[in-house]
Amino acid sequence: MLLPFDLLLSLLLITTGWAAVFSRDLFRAVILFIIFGLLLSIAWIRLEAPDIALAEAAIGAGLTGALLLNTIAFLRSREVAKAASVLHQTHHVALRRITDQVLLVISISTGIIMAFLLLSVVKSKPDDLKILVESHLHESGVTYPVTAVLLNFRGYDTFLEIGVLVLAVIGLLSLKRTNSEVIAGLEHRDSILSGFTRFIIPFIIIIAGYLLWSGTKAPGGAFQAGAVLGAGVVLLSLSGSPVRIKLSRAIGRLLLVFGFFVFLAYAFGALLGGLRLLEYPAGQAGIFIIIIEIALTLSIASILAGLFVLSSPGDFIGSGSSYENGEGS
Amino acid sequence: MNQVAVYIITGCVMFVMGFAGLVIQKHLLRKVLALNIMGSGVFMVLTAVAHWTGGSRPDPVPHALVLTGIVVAVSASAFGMMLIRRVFEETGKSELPGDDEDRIYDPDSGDKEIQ
Repeated sequence: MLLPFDLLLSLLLITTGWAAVFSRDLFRAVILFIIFGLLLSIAWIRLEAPDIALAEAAIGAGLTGALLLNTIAFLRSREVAKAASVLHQTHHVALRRITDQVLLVISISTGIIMAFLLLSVVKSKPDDLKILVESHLHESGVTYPVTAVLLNFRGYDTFLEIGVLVLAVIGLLSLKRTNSEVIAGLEHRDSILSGFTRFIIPFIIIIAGYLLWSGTKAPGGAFQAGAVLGAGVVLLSLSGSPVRIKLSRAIGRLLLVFGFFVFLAYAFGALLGGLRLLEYPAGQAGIFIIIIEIALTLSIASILAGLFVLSSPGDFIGSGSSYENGEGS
Repeated sequence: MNQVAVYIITGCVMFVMGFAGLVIQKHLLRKVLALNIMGSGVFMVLTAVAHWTGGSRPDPVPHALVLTGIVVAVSASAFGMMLIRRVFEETGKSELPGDDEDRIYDPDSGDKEIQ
């Protein structure tokens, strides 16, 4: 029934995706990437995947777009003093070489073959995983299948996922220089932004708490709640709020690893208590899932906000110490 | 069923576009962008296949995989971007040394490239 809508949405996705990859101007490419992410959220809704839509809008489009913009700002701010040839690099699209065009043709034909193969194979896709999940859902401690898979049946993957997040932020912390270089930055306290932030932060906290709680029986969960909360912290940092959590102090770093350690502590505790790896005791899975999810939410929020703050373009004169090394907000 | 086939095809197209961009583009940040588009293509294929057999109750396992994938993609992108910054700080260029050597012509002069 909604096939024309799906066709139109797919066309939009392909065009914005193409423009995001091959656009001449890098800034335009990033903005189009953010638009691509938001269109993708609509596609997830069409595919009956509301949790993915929430995560894509917040993390995929929002945070990745913000990180890309930060990096562009950094590159541009350092390029001002350099030769024009460097500026050419951000504007250059290398589709002129014959090898590049041949590569494009090969990629497109490979894609067509892939699509045909997928379409012929998917008709015979077995259903057994879904049936397994639904038959064991009542034992999982939650009533929403995706949360049950994430936190119970495939809890090991989620455990490693939070580990990857921690690794990423540790990588950023170790790569970021304590640079003494300062650039003349704009010191603006945008009154609209700070007023809006002050207005929206209580709602963000409530919405994050709701998303966390609703994950047990409806779309939601730790990652979506963490992403919303992290966005709130990013807003606080952008609007020059006096609220600061220094990443160089213990409390900031504790927040970063808190989720991973709670999960790890549960894994050890379960093993010591005679259960298998990450197995919940019968009938009490719900309580443990909630505790782990709360810890995960706090950590994910801190890590995502930390990723953004650590990617800031550089030190600004006069804006206090908002963007100095090791400091987040 | 037709609706899901549309998304499977779109996913493949996005994957291919991202791959082509990743290989063809020289600027490192564009490579990160292309990688993200590739990832989105993969996620779309996974979610479409989950919906194919599910109808109103899609298969939850690919959904969990895609959620994990989105988070891992943002972690890798953030780390990649920090590496790009360090490459730029060390070498002053935002392209890798090998790719940079090809640039011995003026891109806007319309010349064929000398390789």
